[in-house]
Amino acid sequence: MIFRHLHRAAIVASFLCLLAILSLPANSTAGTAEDTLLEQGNEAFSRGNYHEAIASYEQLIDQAGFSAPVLYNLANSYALAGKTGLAVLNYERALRLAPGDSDISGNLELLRKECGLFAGDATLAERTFRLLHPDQWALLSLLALVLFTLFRLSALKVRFSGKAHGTVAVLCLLVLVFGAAGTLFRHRHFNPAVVVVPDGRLLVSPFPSAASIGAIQEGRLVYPDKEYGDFVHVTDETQRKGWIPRKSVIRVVPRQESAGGSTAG
Amino acid sequence: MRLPLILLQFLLGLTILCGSGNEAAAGLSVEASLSHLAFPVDQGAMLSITVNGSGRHSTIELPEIEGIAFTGRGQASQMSVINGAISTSSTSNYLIRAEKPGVYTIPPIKVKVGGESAVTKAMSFEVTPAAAGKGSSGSSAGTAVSPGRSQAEEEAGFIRVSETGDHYPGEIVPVTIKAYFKERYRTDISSLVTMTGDGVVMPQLREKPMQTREAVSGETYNVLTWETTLAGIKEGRHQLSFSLEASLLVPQKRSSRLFGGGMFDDPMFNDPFFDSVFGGYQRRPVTVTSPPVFFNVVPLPAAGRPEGFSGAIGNFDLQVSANSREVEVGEPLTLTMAISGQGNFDRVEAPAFPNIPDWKTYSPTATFTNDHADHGTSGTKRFEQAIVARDPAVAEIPALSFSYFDPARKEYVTRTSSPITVKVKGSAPTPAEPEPAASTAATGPAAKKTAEPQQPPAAAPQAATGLAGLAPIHLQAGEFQPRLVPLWQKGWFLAVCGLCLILLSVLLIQAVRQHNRQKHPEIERGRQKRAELRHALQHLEQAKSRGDGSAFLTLCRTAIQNHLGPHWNMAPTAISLADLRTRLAPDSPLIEIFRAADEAAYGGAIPTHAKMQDYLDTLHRELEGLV
Repeated sequence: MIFRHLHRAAIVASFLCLLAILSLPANSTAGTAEDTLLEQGNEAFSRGNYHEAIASYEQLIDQAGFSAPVLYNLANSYALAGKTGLAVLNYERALRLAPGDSDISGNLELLRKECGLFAGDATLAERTFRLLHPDQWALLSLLALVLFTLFRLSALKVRFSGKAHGTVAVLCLLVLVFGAAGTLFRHRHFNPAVVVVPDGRLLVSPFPSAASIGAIQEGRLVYPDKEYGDFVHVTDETQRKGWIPRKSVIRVVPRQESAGGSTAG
Repeated sequence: MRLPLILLQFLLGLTILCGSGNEAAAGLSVEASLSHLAFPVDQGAMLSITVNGSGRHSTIELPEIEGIAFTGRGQASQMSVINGAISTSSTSNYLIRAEKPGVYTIPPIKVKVGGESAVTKAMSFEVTPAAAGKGSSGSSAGTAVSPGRSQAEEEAGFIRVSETGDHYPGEIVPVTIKAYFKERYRTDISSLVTMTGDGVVMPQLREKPMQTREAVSGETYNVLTWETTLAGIKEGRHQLSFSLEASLLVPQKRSSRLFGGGMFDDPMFNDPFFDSVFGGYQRRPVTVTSPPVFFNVVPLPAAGRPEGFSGAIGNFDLQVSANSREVEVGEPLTLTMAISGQGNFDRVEAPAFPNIPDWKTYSPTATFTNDHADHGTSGTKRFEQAIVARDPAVAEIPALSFSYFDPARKEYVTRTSSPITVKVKGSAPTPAEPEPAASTAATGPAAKKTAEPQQPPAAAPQAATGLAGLAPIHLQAGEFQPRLVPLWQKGWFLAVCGLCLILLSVLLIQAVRQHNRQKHPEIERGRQKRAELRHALQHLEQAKSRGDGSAFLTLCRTAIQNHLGPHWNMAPTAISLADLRTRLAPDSPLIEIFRAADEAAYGGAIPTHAKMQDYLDTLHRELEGLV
């Protein structure tokens, strides 16, 4: 009897929580000042004055925070101004907020193709898990978990056949496991760094006069793992490892947790 | 009694002679090597001429070179027997000194052995001006020319490293590392030579060093020689030390007292020969180290440094070619840039294609083919770059430049290729001109060096024209977020996950309990009975409190019937006093309570408060026992 009461209370509480979460105002929207800055940036972009557009968009981000459309516009401006590294950086940031936006992913792909930023050969697992963004994998696993929970709750009231019960449970668990695996696999891809200097070079040791492993293109994604002095040890997309000056790369997710401008490392 | 010893020595000598005879049939080969390819005029280098495949006496015809003196530094022979095959080699060492700085070439040296003769390869070396104050450091570094005798006297072995001198960051410096072990000790090396020190890197040494014998100050040493390279990665004067782990097999004297004299007291068995045969060896681990070696890394000169200089140091040549001379607009063309020579190829990068709108360029790929005979410091690095003509008016692939630093001349050198004429379909006809060479005709640094490095035009960064296909900008600002956080770190994601997990846990616990109930129904029945008993006792307590004896006794009878009914598999209301007397023990208190209840029902007898309390306690105890 007690459990039955507890059970009912848990169901009611879960629905209330879900409603509360869904009804929360997720993010703030821009005010008048921000709209003005956006319009200024867009106008400068239309005139072909990309540097002015960049200044407006960056000011907007400094004031209001990160927004996928603003980051996307900023990335377009950088791309057309010839700053491939900063363009890739802001496309990547925009994708963190809107992973399903085809404009962002399409422009990023076009820029990488135009600049010869081809990725190395990927394994089957890599190709599979790159189908979705890390956030999308996480969302997929969450959906599977919620569906499985709701199904189990509804099974208290509705009697399902054993076959239906097994099919739904297996499907949900498969999606859950696959989504969790994708999230884990793509976990480190959420916050790479982008090479933002045109003459970047990987070095064998963290000293300016150290021997070079080879040049690394502007716009390449690298994955930092440790730091020493003014250098960061990174692995690039072709699995080359080496040290690169800290100022040559910028993290996609800025270290300072506030909206610190698009070029903050 | 010395007859057996003489016989044994004779047999050994015969074996060696037979081996020599077999070996004499092997081919004759001659190699010459220099300890340093560059050395100051006040020092020298060691020329080693190794004759392989002959144990007989060889005649070396040293060439006469103006300003160069050869001084004999002894000869070492080596013989090895592998699977019955005997090979011998002898190495003659000569100290080379020069009268004045310059670049010299040793012509092929002729070596005659019996009726056969062979020649070495020609070698070039450079003699630099005397370095001030280097004499002492040179000897402390353990040069092959003037070894530190004291260390050789004191220890079973030592390491010498050839002269290092001043070098530039990233410059590949060939060095010779020699580990000397006294001949009288048998030696097993346990490791390769390791280098200790900061700011300088050394590649992995070859596992099989060259083995020779050398006489140093009258003592014969077995010598292991590694030819390797050092490269400074940090400016400054770096102190290095080289060490090698080894085990010495030191021969031990026999103790004839073990045998108690007798025949072993004979002078024949006291011959030192038997010490080596029967005396055994003691294994003694040793670490052989070199004296401190100073490697000075000086900065590259800032004056005259070309803008495209990537750190390449050495002597290089540039060849540029294209796979096609006729292309269409948009059709890729492969540009091959081959940089060959000697130096630090790890810093050799592809010549930068000029940033001009006529051409769209892709990243070059690189392949390196090294010359294994020279520690991998010489070879060819080949870059292939895809380029696409954007404009039909394009008439040529522009000239490409590659800059490096020549340490011998201490100056920067820039190699520039010739422009390559191409015909882009649809383009205006280009004026007839002689077909230029597809690559530079560079012959040497001095001959082809240009005064100023050719740089790409200093135009502002320009976007690739293909970016015109970018999707348009967005007009709405959308929602702003203070930070970029992955979904799995957001509060709502974690809350939903936690809620789902809690609900699933509750469901799981409930399912387990239900399963247990179905598997063990008696547990549930017991629980139900305990609940019913608790409920009945509560009613009895209330009746007692009210002083309602009639109701109290009725409730007592009902409680007894309800609890005994399931036990006896009877309807509770059908249980009578007779059933209790039949089925329970005669002295059971339940019979008395049931009888009192019957009497109260028919006779109206009311129990006292104390009696009710007594009945209640008894009922509680007895029915609890039944549950």
